[in-house]
Amino acid sequence: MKLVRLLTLILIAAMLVGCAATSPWQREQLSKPVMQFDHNKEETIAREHMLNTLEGSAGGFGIGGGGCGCN
Amino acid sequence: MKLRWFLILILLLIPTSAFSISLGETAPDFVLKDMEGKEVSLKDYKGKVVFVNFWATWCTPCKKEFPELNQFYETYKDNDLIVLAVNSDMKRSSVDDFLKKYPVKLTVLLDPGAKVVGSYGPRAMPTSYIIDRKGAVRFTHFGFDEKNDPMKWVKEVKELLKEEK
Repeated sequence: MKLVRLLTLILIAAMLVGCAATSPWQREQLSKPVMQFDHNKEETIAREHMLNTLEGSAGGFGIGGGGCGCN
Repeated sequence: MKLRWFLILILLLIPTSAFSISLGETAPDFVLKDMEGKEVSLKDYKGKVVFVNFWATWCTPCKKEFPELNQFYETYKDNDLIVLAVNSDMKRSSVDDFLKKYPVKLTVLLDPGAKVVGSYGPRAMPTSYIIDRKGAVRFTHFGFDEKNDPMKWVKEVKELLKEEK
């Protein structure tokens, strides 16, 4: 029983360590255009228009939140 | 035994960014090179009011802040104010390109490994620390509020310039 508890604790600790936060000054790579979901607006608009026409539906694109991580 | 494991778990939960310099603390000293390759040390400016600004070319608010910071420096440079703009870009060429577009007169220091930035632990980019004549951090500004920050800088720096050397 003690061994099970110990192993559970180690497992939780190992998982938490994997959730490393990026410091504000380390976000240079994350701010690059290729790291943005929507770095080419014209291409995104064209693709969305094509999909809307093909499927006869609208919306369902993009994600919530985001930001440059600067402030 | 249970308490020990509980404490270890709590320690793992604390992110490293929780450790940033507080008001009243002595500003960590550093030695960095400027754009001409000359070494600049913070302790050389003891006795003056030092405005240390951490910025990067990839940071949009930093770009908005830079011209304001330069103007602020030009206004107070003859009054014992030093402005050090510490850049943490990985590539020197990014800084060169940026300064060609936005030429400034203030001192730009290069910290490509971000070691000095890390020692201050700012919560945002840009972040400014205003250091008094005795070397203590007296004011901090996280991010850049274009409406209010320039006025706050003036008020805070004037307050520190009045203090004795």
